[in-house]
Amino acid sequence: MKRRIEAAVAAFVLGQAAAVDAQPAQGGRVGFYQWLGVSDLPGDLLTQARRRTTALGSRVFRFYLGCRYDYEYPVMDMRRFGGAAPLTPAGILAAFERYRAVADDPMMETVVVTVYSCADYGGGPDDINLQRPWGEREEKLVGEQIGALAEWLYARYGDKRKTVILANNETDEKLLDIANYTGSMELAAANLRAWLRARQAAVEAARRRHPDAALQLFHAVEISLVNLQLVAENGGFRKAARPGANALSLVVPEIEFDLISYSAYESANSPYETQDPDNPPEETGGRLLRDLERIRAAAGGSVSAAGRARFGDRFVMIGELGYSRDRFEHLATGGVKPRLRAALGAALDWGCPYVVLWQAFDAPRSGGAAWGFGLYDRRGGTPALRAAPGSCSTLRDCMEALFESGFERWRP
Amino acid sequence: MIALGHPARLALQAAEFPALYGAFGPFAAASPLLQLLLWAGSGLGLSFDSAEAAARIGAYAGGCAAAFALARKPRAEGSAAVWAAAAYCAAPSRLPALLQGGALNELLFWSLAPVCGLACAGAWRNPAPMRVLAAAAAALAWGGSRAWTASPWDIAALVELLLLAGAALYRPQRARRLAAALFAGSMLLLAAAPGAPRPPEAGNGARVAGVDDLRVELNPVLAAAHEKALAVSSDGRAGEAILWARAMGARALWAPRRQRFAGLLETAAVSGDAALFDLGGPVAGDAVIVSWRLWERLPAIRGVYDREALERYLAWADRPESLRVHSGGGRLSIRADLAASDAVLVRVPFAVGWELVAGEGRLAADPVGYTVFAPGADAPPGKMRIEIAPRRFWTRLPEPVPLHAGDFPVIAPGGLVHGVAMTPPPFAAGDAVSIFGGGFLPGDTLVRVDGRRVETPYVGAAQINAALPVSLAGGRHELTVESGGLRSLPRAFEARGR
Repeated sequence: MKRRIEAAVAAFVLGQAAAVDAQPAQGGRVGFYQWLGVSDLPGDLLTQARRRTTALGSRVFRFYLGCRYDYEYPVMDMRRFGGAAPLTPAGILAAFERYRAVADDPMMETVVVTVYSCADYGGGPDDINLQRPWGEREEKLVGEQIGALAEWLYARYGDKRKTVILANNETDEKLLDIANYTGSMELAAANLRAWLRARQAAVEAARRRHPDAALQLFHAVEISLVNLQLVAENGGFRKAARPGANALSLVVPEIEFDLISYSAYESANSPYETQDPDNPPEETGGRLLRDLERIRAAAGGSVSAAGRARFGDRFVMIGELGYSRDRFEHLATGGVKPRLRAALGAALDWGCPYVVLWQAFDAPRSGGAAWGFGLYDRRGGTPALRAAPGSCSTLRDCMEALFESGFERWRP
Repeated sequence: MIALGHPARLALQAAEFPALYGAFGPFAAASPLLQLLLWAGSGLGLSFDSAEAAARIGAYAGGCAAAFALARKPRAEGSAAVWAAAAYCAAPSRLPALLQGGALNELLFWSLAPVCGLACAGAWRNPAPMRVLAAAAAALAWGGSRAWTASPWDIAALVELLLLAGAALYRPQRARRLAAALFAGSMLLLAAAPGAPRPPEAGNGARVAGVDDLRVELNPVLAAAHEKALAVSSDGRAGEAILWARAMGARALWAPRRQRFAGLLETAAVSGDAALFDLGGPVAGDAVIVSWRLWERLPAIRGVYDREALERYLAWADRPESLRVHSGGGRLSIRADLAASDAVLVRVPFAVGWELVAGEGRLAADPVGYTVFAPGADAPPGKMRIEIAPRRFWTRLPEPVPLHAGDFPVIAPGGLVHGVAMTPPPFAAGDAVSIFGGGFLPGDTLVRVDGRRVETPYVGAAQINAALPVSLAGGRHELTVESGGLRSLPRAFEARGR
């Protein structure tokens, strides 16, 4: 296996130079995420992000659909969704135009929905709590709400040639959270397997009910760790580059899904062994390709028939990819642009069906956390990147150029 | 623009947490007497920046006018106009909050001042309607006494009311005017409060941590720590100041010098050199579901720069699974659907002296002094009602806990490895180990394993090489680093038996 991966990496590196400027317009495969963000512009954040995404030429968009956050108020603000309760994902889509408008948008070909079932534990509608042992209540709640969402999507878009992918957010982060909360990695893995199985079952059942629909509905499982593992230390768990467990080893082989969504920071932002971001940008593609192959090898046996039929053996999409300006722009080895160029090129050449960039608008600053991933800042401006004269010099310009003519204007 | 800030924001805060500040807290915090003292030496300005504020000012002004009218023309007491004026005084002050989901007790608290004013005004002639009002005031005072905490706010309010009562007995005519003047001043100042910069969530019960808020928000146990935490922000340690504010469950941070947090937090509002910063993350609820297991393992926060303990506290407390807290009659009521692994963090100072009125479990303090409800071992998981109330008459507040102001040595995550192979535990007896981290002082550092000092052939600022005892038995052990008299949190490791 290792030899095959190395051969694939070598083939990619050799072929990359030839492929550099041969990319076709990629608006149907490359899109943007919008989750938490800040904007001083009028209107809600979701609509602003969606409109700016399609205006650039992208036809792929990812957003969060759950009960914690409504793109108007802060997470868990009591005013979210106008105080409406109870809520479900389908109910939110039905009641709030800004959510419907994403898939309604005729320019939008693929919508990736980071969806969570809703429950009320005493604080109003919230995402399902996966820290507690899985039971009949959870099974019923997830089956009903994801099933209702799928039915709603088929009812509204069944005759449209669109693709909707229902995904979760980074199973590894949830695995770590539950394990630390409960002290049991076994409970965490069991809960996540049961949860993801229930979601897949609901999507498959809906697909069976609509065999002739033009709408393509899929369920993706998102992971974020390939080489790093969750290891027990000092009474808790943390990520480390030494033997342990992660979703790819504990959860993915035990369930079925249509495709994997890979949140690719571990591969794209630094070598996992050193965690040092100041590394040559040209090595980024090789690391990403190596890890895509590792995911494919580990997850291949869990892909559903529907997933195989649509994605073949390229069933790994990039669910999140991005570089923060404050962490990368000042590095001696290169800024955001060459790294993103290398990662995007690798993912597209490998055949990832979709690549979702994090994200349309900058997330709020939060102490020392990495900041400045956005295409746009809070005023709608396009932050400048280090660039040679004549090449694209903002993320927005670069992405627009990619959608028009490939990577030609990305030359350093 | 505003330097109004302190007392007005205190008053709003006192209204949000009547159980903490006492029934008379809002009245006291807003009283002109107290404010004159608080404002001594500080600038004063008013700003009205929204239609809501204008509407409230109108309502308050109307209420004040009615109170003046009553004070000046007591003969009108029996007329319908008087009753209308009294209702006008009582209702509008908190009606917006009530309509937006505010609790009924807030309406009662905010009605207290006008009702007291009317009662004093009526004391001279003592007609029947005034007796009713006086009885209402007494009932409210009795209700408020259940939240009596002997706080400075309660004491100030009591003194003020005694002054009023004394004046009413001695010089009734002056008492009416004094009551009306105090009431009018309080209401006007409160009405101006929305003019102060505030985050969008301020109307949502979200906390705003500012210099003055910090001093009153936290219990006396950590008051000293807060003052130091604030000093942290002014000596360049903005990171720790942010951690402290988040640990308090604050949503925003008010900084007199906005440069201190520029680039670290989003600016919500600017006023001169000061600014209000959004701390980001989920809105910290008044109560939140937390891990019972982790709570039992939380280390004490030993100093204002005890970053490791603060971060572990936040990893436990800063969760999105918030719960709604209903307050009434000084009690806090929470309905929660809990699992066996859950506890509930209630962001009210434990030092107030709460007792559990409903719910099976116990109350305890967390490391920053907030209250934790831990369900009893026999309590079945599921939906439950938790109700807590302050102890009734007198609460003895604990003495402030002294906190260190130095940097604690920290062992980095994964920072305890075999000295040669650089592999993580387990180790064998006599092994050389390397400890990576920070805050190590060469020449003033020692390493202990299970309390016993071990050899340290090398001590650098970020790395220590140590030798484990040759007599180390197999099993679990704890290693600590002491530098400059401060000790790191223990790092557990496994040892192989020989």
